Amino acid sequence: MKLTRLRSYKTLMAALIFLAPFMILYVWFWIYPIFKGFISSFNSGIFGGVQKFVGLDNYSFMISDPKFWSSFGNTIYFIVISTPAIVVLGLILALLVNMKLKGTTILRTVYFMPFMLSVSVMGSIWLFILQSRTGLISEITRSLGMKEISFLGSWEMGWMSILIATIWWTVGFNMILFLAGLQEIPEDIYEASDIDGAGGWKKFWYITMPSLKGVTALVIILQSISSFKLFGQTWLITKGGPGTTTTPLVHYIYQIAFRQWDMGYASAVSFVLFLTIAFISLIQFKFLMKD
Amino acid sequence: MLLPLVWMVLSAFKEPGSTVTVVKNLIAPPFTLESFARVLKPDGTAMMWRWTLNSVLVGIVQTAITIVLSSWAAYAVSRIPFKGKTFVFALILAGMMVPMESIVVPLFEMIADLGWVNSYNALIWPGMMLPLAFLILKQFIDQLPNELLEAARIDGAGTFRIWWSIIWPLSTSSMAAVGIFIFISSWNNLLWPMLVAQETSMMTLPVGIPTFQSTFATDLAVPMASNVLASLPALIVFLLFQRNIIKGISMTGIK
Amino acid sequence: MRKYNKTVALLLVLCLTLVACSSGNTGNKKNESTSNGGGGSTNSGTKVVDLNFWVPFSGTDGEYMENMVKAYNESQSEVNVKFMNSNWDNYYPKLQTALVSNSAPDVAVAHVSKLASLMPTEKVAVLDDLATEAGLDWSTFSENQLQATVIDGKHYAVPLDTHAVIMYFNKKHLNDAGLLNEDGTIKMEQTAEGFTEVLRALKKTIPADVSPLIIGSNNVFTYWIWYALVNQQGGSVFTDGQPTINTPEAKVAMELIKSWIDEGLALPDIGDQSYDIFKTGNAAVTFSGVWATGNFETNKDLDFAAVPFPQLFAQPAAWGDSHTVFVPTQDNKEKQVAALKFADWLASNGHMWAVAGHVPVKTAVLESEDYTSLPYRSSYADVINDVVYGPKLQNLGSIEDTILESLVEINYGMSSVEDGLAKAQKNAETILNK
Repeated sequence: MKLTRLRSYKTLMAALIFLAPFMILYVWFWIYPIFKGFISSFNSGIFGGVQKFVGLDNYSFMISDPKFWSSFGNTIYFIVISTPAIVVLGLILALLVNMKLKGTTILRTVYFMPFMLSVSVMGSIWLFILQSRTGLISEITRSLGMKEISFLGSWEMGWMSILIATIWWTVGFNMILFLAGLQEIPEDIYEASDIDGAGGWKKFWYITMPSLKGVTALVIILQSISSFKLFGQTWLITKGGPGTTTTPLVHYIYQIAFRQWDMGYASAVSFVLFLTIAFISLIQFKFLMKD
Repeated sequence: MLLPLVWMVLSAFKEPGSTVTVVKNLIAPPFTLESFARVLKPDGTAMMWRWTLNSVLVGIVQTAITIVLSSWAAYAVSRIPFKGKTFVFALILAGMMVPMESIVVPLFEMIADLGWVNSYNALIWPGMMLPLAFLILKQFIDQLPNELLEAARIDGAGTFRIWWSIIWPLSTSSMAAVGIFIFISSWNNLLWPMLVAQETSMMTLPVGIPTFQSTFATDLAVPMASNVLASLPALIVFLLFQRNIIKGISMTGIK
Repeated sequence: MRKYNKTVALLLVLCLTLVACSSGNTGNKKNESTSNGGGGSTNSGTKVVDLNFWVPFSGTDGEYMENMVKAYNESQSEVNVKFMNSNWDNYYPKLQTALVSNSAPDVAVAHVSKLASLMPTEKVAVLDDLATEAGLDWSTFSENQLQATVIDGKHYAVPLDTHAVIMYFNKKHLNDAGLLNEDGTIKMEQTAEGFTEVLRALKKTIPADVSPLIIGSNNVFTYWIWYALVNQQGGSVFTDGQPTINTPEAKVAMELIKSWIDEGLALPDIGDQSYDIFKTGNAAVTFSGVWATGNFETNKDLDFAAVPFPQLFAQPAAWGDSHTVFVPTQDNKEKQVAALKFADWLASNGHMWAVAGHVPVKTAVLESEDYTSLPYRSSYADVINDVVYGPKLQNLGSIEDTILESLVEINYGMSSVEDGLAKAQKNAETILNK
């Protein structure tokens, strides 16, 4: 009996030692900040100045803050327009590459390469391409005598530009995920269906699609979560404009915290962002991973 | 698809201030390394070498710490029986849903209180993707054949020895896969380093590159040169380790 | 596997050593953005006072200031100033954080418009007594600029320069249109309509891809130009510390700007490219900051003139800001006095700084040979008397941000002038009352 107690004590100690470094870092820098932010959201005051307890004021302000709703709406808008596009394109590219025709491995490299660039490099290139009057496309259209297309000059075009840049940058990542999923499907299933006389489309619809359900779910979840965190592209390419029409939520949080120095309100909006992402992740998990 | 990159590279080799948006000018000589020289000359607000060093340093350290610590934690949760294991597991899983963007404000206040603003500490300790690494490594360790560990235990190996001689060597491929993923995400971090790196010397590459777009705009050659230089390490690594990187991402997907 | 193992272990050790070394070495890295002048050595007995000097001068401005610091260090041996430059974008968050966490420099530059926002940190030193000790005479500064640095009757900063939005025009394009007087000024009626007529006349003669006017419709220039036009009508954007945006004067001003865009006299959707478009001769007139002078000069083919912002309404007014030098509070009074002496020297040598395009603040410098012999610069120096500084509001920056957002929306046709101004008023009040 004493041996088992000693043994269990020893295992507990071992567990603690192995877990401790991870947990300390994790709790300190990931879990604690959430609570700290939550507490801060009940205060008001300038960074470094005196903090006043204001209860739910920050939250009630948020409800009537048009800028909050517009940046929240902007974020949702981006998720809605980008997720289907990037997921479907990723799938199409993966199918293309998977056909193993001549030169498809080159294609794989080509489509994936932009993902290796840092967001700043990507933003800089696309800004220079899309800029009005002095951008690459603008110069080309002018030299061809065409009317200038304003890429960054309106709400709709601004988002379109962000979408194009984002697709170029990240579609390769989804393509790889889909590729992996495609390559998991055993060849014999296809062969069996060939024997049954199934055509290309049937094969795709009845074999490929169902087998890819898991991967597709994953891609959708990852893509929408990362769209929620949109910051770099709008910061660098449209600078949130014109006006505030391409300002997503994270960008607005930055403005509140580091231009207005209102850490309390910024914490409140951050907390709402956290809840929203958590909520959506949970729902998507449950719904898409039903099997 | 590659056109933007081609344009970037061509522009980088033009003289500073040249109109690289006019295709005629772009493909005709002169070509020069002048823009690169401009970019690499360190002055008060441009320090490419230092920024690259910072990005590499922070990337490697974060990756190393994340992998080792997650490997330990994954081993503990996977193989060591202890009370409260499910709680710990749930807590870590929950963390997967916390995006860094939603905690930058309290994190910033914490870092300011610690006096860590503008230091390597501020760049390194927050933001490590611990839950993700944990999950992937745990899955891997779960799949290891029990007999292997049983045999070791019978031979008298303690918990640590098992980790060191069996788990650690065997996990190398999954650690490499996760490691690549984590390194790329650390390399690419923009928001957080932007907030805490307040001296030019502490900036990382993503934070420093936009400074080349001077307010006076349309000197495109110099910013493009900086873009090329910033992308070189990543692209070289990619071309060399393409297979591993792609394998890594695939594995992360099949979790 | 074994081999892999060892490499990983080695990497880890390497990393940890690097981290240890680097955290220790941050002071000694070769590419630190500091520079020491020659004034470090001195005879034993007098200890040299070291000052850390922070500035937000990215671009060529930074070089000029660095030269001035070097010159100062070489000119005397009691004080050694360490020059530390930052990007404009990061500067105020960095400064604010440093003040709050007690890691502030000994002396720093701040825009006069930002002084009020630094006040709540309670780390900006009052300068009245220190100035007397340093031998700084407030009366040598131009009145308009000095008043902007006085808050509640106390001096909080030393003016360094004024930088305003002025008018540049391309002499060739104006001449070709027959719009240039003998003395090089523009032939126009001194009214808003008169100016617009000039633009219309230009449009008829200049080449198709040259724009009569180029302004930033997407950036802060819109706010600055609008602000000047409002004040020229006798109105004001702020009254008694409250925003008064939805006024008839504001409406007239914004409608004027919008009309230039709508009539095709100014290109829509322009941000910072405006500098380059003017510089390469692709625009005839621009409203730009004085700091662009140095940049425009580099194009030898550009024959341009720089004059104060034109008076288009009842009275002259312009938007401008000033760089000032302030001293964070600290225990070492000796350093604070030294900082003031340094600031005074900078202002007295304003002709060196004027090379960057900014206008000096000391009346003696404005009249000096050194300054008046510089090309272009003295031709717009008078603008400093027209500058209407903003109110000393803590939240001024974010209030102006939010007003700008609405003005840009008007420019882009996303909102009518009335709606945009009303929205700006509402948003500005919200931020003020937070």
